[in-house]
Amino acid sequence: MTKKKETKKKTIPMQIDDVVAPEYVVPLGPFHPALLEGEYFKLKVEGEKVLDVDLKLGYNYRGIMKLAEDRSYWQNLYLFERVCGICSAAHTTAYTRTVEMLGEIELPDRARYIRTLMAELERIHSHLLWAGVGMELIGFKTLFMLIWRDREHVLDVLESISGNRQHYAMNTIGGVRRDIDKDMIPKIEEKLKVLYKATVTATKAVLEDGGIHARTVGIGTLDKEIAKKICVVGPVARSVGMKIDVRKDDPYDAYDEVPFDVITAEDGDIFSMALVRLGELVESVKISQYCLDKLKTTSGPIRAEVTEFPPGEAVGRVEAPRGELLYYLVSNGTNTPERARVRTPSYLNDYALLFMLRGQDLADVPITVASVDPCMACTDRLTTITDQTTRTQSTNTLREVSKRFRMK
Amino acid sequence: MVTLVDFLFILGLYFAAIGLAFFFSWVGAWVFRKLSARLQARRGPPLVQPVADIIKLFGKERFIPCLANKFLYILSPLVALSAILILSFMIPPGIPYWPGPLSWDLIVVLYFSVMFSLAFVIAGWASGSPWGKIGASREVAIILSVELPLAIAILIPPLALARGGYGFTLSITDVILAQEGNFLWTVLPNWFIFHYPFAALALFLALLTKSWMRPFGDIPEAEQEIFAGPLTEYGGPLLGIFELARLFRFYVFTALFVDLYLGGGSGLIFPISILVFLLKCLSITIIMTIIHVASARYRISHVFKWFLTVCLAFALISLIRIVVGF
Repeated sequence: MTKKKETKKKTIPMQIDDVVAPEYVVPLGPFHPALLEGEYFKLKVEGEKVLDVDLKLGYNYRGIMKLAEDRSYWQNLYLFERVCGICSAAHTTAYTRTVEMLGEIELPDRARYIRTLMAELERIHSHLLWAGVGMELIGFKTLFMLIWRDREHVLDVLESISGNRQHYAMNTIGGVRRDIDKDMIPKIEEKLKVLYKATVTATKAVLEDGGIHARTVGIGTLDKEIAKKICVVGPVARSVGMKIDVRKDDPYDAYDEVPFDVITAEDGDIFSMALVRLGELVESVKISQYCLDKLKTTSGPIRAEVTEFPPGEAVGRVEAPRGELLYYLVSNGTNTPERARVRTPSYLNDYALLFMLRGQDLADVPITVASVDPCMACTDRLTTITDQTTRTQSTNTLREVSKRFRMK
Repeated sequence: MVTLVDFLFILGLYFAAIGLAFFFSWVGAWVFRKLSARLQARRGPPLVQPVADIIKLFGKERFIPCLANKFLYILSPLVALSAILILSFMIPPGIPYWPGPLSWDLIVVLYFSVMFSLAFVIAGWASGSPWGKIGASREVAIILSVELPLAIAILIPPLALARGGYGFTLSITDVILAQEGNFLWTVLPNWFIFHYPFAALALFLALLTKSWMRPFGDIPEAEQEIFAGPLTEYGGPLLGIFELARLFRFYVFTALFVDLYLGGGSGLIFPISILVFLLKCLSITIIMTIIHVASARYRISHVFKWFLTVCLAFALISLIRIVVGF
């Protein structure tokens, strides 16, 4: 009898202390204002605390690696440019670098500087985009508007060089497709000064504003050991104190002669990730300026002669704005690659989120997700389809997909 | 004895007050949107935009989600609108002898300002969406933290009057009339903001938060986190009623601050006093907009911390000053 009485505890419905709030699953995605692309975070939430996270990718699968096996090396340039809109220069740089390793092609000097310039301008545009989105996600709409206004300057520069704001189509196998005129250089330098000023303003705001501090310092902290285990790359790795940067470790293009610092931070929270990216903005402006100075003095061709692609395999990697981007190509001696493999930085960094999100407030989830700068268009490699009635999972081959979606 | 003429007069005055409040809130909402746009390097909307948005919503499809509680889902926008309309009548728009309100109208103002916030809580829970529920729980947290400093700061002017020998009154009209004239060797106007600056600051912060403005206020409708919060599932005319209520909020809360701490339209002749009152309201709106634009959104835990320590301390400083008589 006494036991029964003990087990019958009354729960007061609205009591404040020691009450377990009902757990429910909050769907963050596949489409959500905080996410720019399709990805699905299944958040198990108790009150405002996130207990558990599950991540589902694959909403943006386009079968690019399979498509690459049907196209020639020259056609693949346009295909790999379209893996990602934001880091299109990085993707073609990685692809052309891999092909050049296959064919043992030496780049002319001028092409090296132009490629480096484009890569750094793209990094500026990508990091400014990230900073703006990050500010918007913590509710600082003003700084988002101002940063994106300043980002227009770098897009203007990219447009004046290549003709496009995105998808610059500058890189080709053995060099670049367009030259930079001498009278264009002073205009670019002027814009770089504006960008430098904008970067300094943004950095000052991030360093001084109490609201930004309250929302970023100590939030979404990534443990260094976990970061090493899941092999994070790029600014995320540098924000936990790992000094890795392909530009320094395995120099390509003109990076072996450009002086620049690898920016690192220690804490691994969102604030240090922001600091790393803002510091890299300053470095990128400096590298661009160096390349422009060199372009004034160097002359010569902008692309090398390419004749054949001998059989073999090659791995090329570059530092994309989000981290190490790796391309693997197998050649069988014909003009189409036998196998192409792309490993994007977001593919590694996204899994850090599973560790960063646990125990966070729901209010901090969007900025934490954005802090690793996930790029879903790059990441999605495979899609599995679950039949809702039989609960069986299946993967589709490219032929099945094209049968479904192509007009006959 | 209330005659028919008296009744019609008060009814006419009621509609005049609503019309005036609508005009003021229209201007306030437009100033808010235009100024924040200009500060964010955007162009901003034309003057008709705040009202055009609401008219558009009334022309849209009526829709009730299947998970929603139908009764509460329809009731809550009506509660919000009626609460804010009663508030806009209770608060004198710059006319010193406002005959409508009663001698205890500050209590009514407090009550209906909570009622207005509660309507959003009901809306969030009734709509049956997880985002609505999270938004509603955040709104409850804001009510819990804001209402105490707000109540103290609203009741400080009448308490000060009672201390100063005016007799105990809870009428806004009496508070406005008491702020006529000057003090401190006739340098400063006799407004309560100069007598009790800390309480004025507490009231300002509380009203800023109740108007859903950053740094604290827009947590319930943080669009990057929980879509539109309590209003996520709303659309069409019901959302239009909510938006109309939110339009009135631009006027009502600033007007409350102006009446209690900035002297309302006191000491001036009738038509000029309304103009001065509007200018005071607009300047408060402009200050609120600048704070809104220049700040990031805090978390809900920060709201608790801020309002139950700093803001409550501000209100209590003034209360202790009244009790001690300093």
